[in-house]
Amino acid sequence: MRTENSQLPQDIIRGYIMDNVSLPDLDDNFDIFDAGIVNSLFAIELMTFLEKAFSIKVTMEDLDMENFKSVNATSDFVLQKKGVQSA
Amino acid sequence: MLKHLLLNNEQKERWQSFHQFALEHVGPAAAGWDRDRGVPRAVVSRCADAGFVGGIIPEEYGGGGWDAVTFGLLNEALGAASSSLCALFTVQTMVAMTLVRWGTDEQKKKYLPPMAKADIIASFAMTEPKVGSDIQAVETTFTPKGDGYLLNGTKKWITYSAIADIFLVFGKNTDGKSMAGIVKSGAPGVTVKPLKEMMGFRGAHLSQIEFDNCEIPPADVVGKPGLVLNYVAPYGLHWGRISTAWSSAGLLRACMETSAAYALERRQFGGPISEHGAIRQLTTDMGVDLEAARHLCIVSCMAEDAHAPEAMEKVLMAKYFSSRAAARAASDTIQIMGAAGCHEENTAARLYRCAKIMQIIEGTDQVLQKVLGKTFCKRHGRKVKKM
Repeated sequence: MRTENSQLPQDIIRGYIMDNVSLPDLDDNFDIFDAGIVNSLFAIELMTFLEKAFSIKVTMEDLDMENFKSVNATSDFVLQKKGVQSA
Repeated sequence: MLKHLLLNNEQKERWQSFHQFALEHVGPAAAGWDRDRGVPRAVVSRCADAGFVGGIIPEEYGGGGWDAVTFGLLNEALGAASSSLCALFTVQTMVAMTLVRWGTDEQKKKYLPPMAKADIIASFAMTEPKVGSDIQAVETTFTPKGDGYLLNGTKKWITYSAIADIFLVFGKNTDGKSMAGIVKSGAPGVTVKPLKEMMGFRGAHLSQIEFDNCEIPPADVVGKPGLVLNYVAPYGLHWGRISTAWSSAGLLRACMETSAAYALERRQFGGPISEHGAIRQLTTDMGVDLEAARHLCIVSCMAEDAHAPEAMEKVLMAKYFSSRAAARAASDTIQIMGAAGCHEENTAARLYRCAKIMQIIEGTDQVLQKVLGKTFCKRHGRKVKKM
């Protein structure tokens, strides 16, 4: 999946996280919650960002930290969600 | 001027109608509600008939489908006249919007339509005798029983709970996972003890609620265990802060109007005190604070309406600034009025008492500093290259 400006979900998600936390670089498998570098406010902001950027709706069933713990996990979640919603 | 720049025609018309309602039905009665320690249920019904109580609830559930800006304008207009009445919109909206976002379809259909008409008044039961800002430390327990739970614990300082029909209660299960559930006020095991002698918000029906083996059926459990305090509760608190930010801005406006009217009328040393430099300093600060508070409130709600990720942070800023500015303004209003402002018959005294509460509810100044100060340092500090 690519967006209109041909960015991959990983690029968009990585860019958003790096814009909002103090990290010089970010490995796509780095667990941002386990590392304690984000707070609960950011968790909700990230959820809202995903909904707006990828036109998805995060439901109660989706609320699992495993879905948002890293760039790759979040990207997988978005792709799975887009697949479900467009099916 | 601000409303001409940032509000659309529908928002302007609604704001006008809110002001008219406040002028006719709230302002003249507000001191009496304070004195009698309660906004009458009939007043709540009148607000519901006007479409105010369910304004923010989506139309599909019987509400008005307003945007966040319009909801804020309601809180500004009525909050200027009575913080106690405005607190109804705060708590009703905290519960309603939590259900809109995280409730099941059945919960939405069951609770939102009667909440929109104020046939059900709802309270957000988070705070406990030993637990305030640190919500992760709640001690209320949800013990599994059959498919549902038994609720035990005590909630305190819960706004409108003395006349509420349902409570959205937060706690933890026996595994330590956060939980929330809806409890009816008349359910077996529920005891409500009104707290009448509050410093401010005297008409806002605060109480202590005790739960003793109170049953919660599975259909009334809200959210997924373990994620309630990280996702469900913050959403309700977010809407509480929107309401409180605007209500504070309304209170600030009331202080400005009260101070200005008095300063123009009161004469000392041969002229109105409004001409004195020391008084001008106070009214200048008040007027600039009022404009700044309105800007923060409107922009934060525009962010909310745009579903912008930064909306929650902007609302935190709006609540932080507005409540502190309201407290400063209320103190300065008393200063301008002197002894007259210190008498309970004067509106200024009630504004002063209620303004202090604004700095405590839905996140104290200190908790908001903890979140915002850290955020700002992280964001801005890394932009400066190390020497």
